[in-house]
Amino acid sequence: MRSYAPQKAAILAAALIALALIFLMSCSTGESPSTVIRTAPNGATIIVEENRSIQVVSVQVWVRDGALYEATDQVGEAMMLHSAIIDGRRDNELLAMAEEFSALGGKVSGYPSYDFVSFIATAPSRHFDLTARLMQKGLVGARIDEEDVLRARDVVVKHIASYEQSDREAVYMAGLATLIPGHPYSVSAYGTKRRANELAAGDLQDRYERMYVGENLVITVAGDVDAVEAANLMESLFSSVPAGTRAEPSSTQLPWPTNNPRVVRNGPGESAYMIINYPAPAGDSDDVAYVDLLLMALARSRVSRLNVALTRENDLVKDVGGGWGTHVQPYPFQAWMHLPVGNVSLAEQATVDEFTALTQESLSQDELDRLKNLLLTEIALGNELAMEKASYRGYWTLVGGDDFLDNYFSRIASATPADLRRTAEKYFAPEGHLATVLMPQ
Amino acid sequence: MTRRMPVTGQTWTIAIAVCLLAALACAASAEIHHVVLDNGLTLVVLPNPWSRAAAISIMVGAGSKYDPAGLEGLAQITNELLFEGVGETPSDEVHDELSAMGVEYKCLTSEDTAELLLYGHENRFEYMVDMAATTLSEPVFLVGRLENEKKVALASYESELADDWNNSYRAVTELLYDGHPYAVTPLGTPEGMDAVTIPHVQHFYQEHYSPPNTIVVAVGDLQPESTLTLLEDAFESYVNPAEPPDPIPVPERTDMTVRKLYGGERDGFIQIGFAGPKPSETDDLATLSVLMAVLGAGTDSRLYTMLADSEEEVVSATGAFASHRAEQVRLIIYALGASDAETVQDILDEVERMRSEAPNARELERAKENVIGSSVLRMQRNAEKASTIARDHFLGLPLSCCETYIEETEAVTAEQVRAAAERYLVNPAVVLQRPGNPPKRRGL
Repeated sequence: MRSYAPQKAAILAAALIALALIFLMSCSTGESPSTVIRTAPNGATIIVEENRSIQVVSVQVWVRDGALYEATDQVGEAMMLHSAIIDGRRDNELLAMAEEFSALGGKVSGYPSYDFVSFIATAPSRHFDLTARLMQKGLVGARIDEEDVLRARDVVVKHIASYEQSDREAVYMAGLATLIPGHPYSVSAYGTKRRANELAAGDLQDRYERMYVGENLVITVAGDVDAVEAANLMESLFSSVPAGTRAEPSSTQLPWPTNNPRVVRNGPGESAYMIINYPAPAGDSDDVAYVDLLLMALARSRVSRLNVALTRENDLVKDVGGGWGTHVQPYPFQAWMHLPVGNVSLAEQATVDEFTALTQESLSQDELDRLKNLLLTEIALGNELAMEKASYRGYWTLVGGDDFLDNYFSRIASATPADLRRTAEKYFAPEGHLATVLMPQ
Repeated sequence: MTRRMPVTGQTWTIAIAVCLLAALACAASAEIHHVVLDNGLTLVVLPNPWSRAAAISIMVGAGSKYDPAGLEGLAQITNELLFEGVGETPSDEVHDELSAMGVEYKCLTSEDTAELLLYGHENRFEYMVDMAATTLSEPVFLVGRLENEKKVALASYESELADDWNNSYRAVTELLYDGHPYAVTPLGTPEGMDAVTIPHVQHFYQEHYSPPNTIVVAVGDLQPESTLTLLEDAFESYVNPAEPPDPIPVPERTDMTVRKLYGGERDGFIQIGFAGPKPSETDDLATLSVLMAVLGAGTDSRLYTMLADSEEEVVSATGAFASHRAEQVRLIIYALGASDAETVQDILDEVERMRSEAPNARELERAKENVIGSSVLRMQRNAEKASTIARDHFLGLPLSCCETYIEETEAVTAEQVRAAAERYLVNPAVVLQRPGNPPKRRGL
């Protein structure tokens, strides 16, 4: 194998990363002729990312709707409406189009979250026109009837039952209920069975009229299409959607409590499962890029700090991982692990030590360059499919804001060890963590 | 002194022409570039300026069909061991280094080939090339890793046995290729794996891992000429002189064969296989895909319609496809939920109808769309593109095959489909997997 002098290798790596970032920035700013970003007269954001290397197109509609836009005791309506549209509607013309679409190799999917609901149609790009019109037919001028509600309720109640039977989910939610009590993020976004049974077609129709409006829509297209023509078509197909009023969150984030006692739940099995929560920034924060880089340091790759400390050096856990579901409002950064019951305290302390170390000592420039590369790799490999590209655009526009990606990539490029240390100090104070544990009975 | 040219209509014409040429060059750069070196090594670059991901596939004609008798599993173990220690760097450090660099890898062994696939961000492309070339050129085959690899291979073998689909597919291939190495899964056999030693691995490497028997395919935002030069330089020490082995002829099938399996988690499972032609010796590849789609892809397909119309709703899912992944096309039909002779006969009756009754216009159109749709949806990742190009090379297909696939599929006619059915849907290998234990023998 060739060997490089470490300094030369570092300079080369830094130069390559800088070049890669410049390219990514040019893609994400919309300056590239292959990407169109525009706001339609009714307020809908339209983003088209042209990609001629794949013969596929994904057309997606992201709606600013979800539990975050519902009172905590009313949560469930947004999910039910999403399900009524995806699983419930039996409009004959729509069904015929969907059947035709499926026969041509198209796939329809979609997922709801706390901050948004999404509708996704992906097909060979030669059927772009049908794909776009299917989305229009499904989402513009929808009428929800009681039959639709029955079908949607069936789907939602199954989700709730599955959620209620999951011990992992219970311990996960117990942590959120302790950290952000009363916030919509602290309850299941599907709501309760009672709520699902209460909702009627009129409730869902009202919500649809209020939330599925131009100001709340982000329409994304990625794939083998002409970007300008595709943007024109989407704008035209959704032009009859009224502008409406932009949705506002029903809650504000509560202050993150400190010195939290450990939360323990009992469950089946022979080993424990522990989640360690730390505060993290809101989706539109400038800190998001830095926290993502810290995530790379702590929990990505075989040589991540948590894996080395907890698995290799001390043999405290069977496995360890970490992640962060970036949301509109702050949501925990988490490390999770399976471990022997007797190691819970030691593993909690070792985990806290690793988070704390990031607040006390700056990363080396070499390590930071490596982390930047890891993050860019994760993004590159996670954005090869047309569906992934369109989802990435939709997600970050709703969670981070219209110009989020421009800032995000430039922040990764310019991040310094001092930036990461300052960010770690802000979020990873030892007294801010909360351990939630699922203990075998 | 610089001489300024006046901006005239002619200048604008030239400027526009230059822009058009540049655009054409950009479009052309998405074409496959390849070179065969003097030593026989084939290097391929597919530029993809739309992606930040890069992938490199190194594929060698060293698949399980070359396993010597009694050493079934040798090809798989050799391929895996290649990456268990690279140059002077031991295994765990190699894997740590790759993970730290954000480079993913897979070692994939099929009946025909052994592949090392590396992919990651484009700024690690040179590192990936270097790693791949060193792996291939300077194998170390650590004794200490052999037993571990055997354990991993055995675990995969057992997991394959425990899976209804894989177990039935294995039985179908055993029936289709009785007496040929294809009859054995690429993982080998427990006895074969157990018998493998490091000298066996070294000998297998010497016999098969040579430049004329290897293709290197790179896909990413790569400049073709400089990438080919980079690859040529990196692989210059890959010099093993062994020649590609002679083909191993596949025996012709002359009759229908049936096997019953017991156990499994499903209510019942039927798989029926037919031996297709060699991809390199037929013009029917696209036709065969369309044929199997007419039979079993989607809710409009003949099998789906026939089973949905039947009074006994025992079949929960059915399908049919043509697998082009080996040096002989396999045509597979499956039905979940049933394992009775009546359902098998119903399926074979539908196959018989296929041999005599060409698809109507709607059937043909739907089947083509299904084939094209699944093909383009699958071929989005650079790693998949690299693997497919490499595999097509070993199947004897032109390097442009996947680019012309849509056109070839669209050109298929109804009569070609019927004729292909008549020619290839013969002498089926039928496997019925039933839940529970085998029936006890009467008498003794």
